[in-house]
Amino acid sequence: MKECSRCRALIESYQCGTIATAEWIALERHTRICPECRALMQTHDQMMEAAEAAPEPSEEELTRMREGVLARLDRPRPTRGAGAFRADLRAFLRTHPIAAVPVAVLALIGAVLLGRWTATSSDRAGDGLMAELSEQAAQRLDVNGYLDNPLRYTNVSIRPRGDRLALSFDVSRHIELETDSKSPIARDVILATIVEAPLSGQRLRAIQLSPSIADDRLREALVFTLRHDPDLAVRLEALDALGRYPDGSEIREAMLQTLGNDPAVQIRFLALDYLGSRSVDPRRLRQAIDTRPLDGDAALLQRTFQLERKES
Amino acid sequence: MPLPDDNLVAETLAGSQAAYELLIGRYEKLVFKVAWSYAREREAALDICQDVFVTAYRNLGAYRRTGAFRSWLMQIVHRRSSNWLRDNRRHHGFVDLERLPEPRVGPVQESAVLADEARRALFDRMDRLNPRQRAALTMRYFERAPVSEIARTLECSEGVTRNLLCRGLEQMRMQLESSRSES
Repeated sequence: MKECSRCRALIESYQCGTIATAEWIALERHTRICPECRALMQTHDQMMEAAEAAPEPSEEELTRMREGVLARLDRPRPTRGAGAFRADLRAFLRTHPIAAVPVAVLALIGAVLLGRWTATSSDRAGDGLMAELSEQAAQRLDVNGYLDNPLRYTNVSIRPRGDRLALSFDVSRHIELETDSKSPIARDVILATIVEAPLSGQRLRAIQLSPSIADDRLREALVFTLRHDPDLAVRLEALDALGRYPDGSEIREAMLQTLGNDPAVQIRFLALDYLGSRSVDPRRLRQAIDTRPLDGDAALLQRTFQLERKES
Repeated sequence: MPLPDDNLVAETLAGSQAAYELLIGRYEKLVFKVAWSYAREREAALDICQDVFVTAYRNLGAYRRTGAFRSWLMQIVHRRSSNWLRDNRRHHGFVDLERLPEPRVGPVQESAVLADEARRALFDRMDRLNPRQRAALTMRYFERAPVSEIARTLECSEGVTRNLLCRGLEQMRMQLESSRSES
């Protein structure tokens, strides 16, 4: 099992194209005896083959596609076949002039109903947002108004359309609230920040503020961070935070993987201390250290012997 | 040395359609490949390509010219292709390997038919992944994009990207194995 979790890390490196030769040999050796990891490697190989076998477009197809694009660039945006419907209606009335009266009555009723519907739909969610945007825009008198605006415009495109402007944008809302530290929203925001925030400072701060929500999801997020976060400070913080949890197999596996694979010797020492304090079999510790040659292996092995002696 | 993408974008925004044609020429094969990986039909893939380049053109003003035009374009490709898949999913039934007719061909063609079916089964499983995992795997295998670029396109950290890739592959393995054990 431990071998497999180590192997998964190697497969990840292999998949990302960052595997070293020695690691590749270890991976090959393991997949020969482990059917699950072998199947995972086979899935990887199948994906490679499928991508290789993907067809190439012919020059003729590409020319047709390019011409289609350029033709559409010259035209205004299509309006879901409204023009075609109008042409059909005109042709129908030309051949059946008597139908003009009921068609006119139906069009009138339709226009009245449509008018009523659009009047009420302005209160619905999308139009409600539009109304809020317009209201905010009307209230704003100076630049500070923009800076304090809780609604942000992103992905903006502005194009002239005669004497009007075609605007296209995303709106996101900035929310500020004070909530109980154990509330679901606090937990969700903290978890999302730990796992996805682009800045390491944000991830670090989120871990530091997470003790109030010591639950299984947070533990998973911390294990994930310990295994994958590219920033050493964040991984150290995650390791420290995991130390607050009751001992469990998932945390032990993550610590063993860190001991065997993490490029930073500081964090490997801390993982070793964690595992040593939980009386993990020293042979497993030595195996983990031997996973791959890394800086500080000798010092770590020495520390393992010290822990072993202390135990006995 | 070819002109950087951002210069061509600037030229396009200044009104040069020829510059945009050059941009299309640079990425059309890549866009087709990704679109095909979702649609698996040449015509549908070409339609998606057309939509992608028209959408990109209309939103070119929103691109911030940060030297990452490819990532920006790929975001559009994956979004459009995912939408296509969502709208056309009913046409993409899963392959029941048990019900396949016996191939009446020689051994060489037979192995080709089986390889083709295995690929179809693989793609069907890919369709079952969540959109981010699917996009990450498509970028890695079909675009051969490095992790840093996938992370930029998906707007997440490299750690998250590595996890998306590994878990995506793992889920596909489990799905393929469970379908084999069912049959």
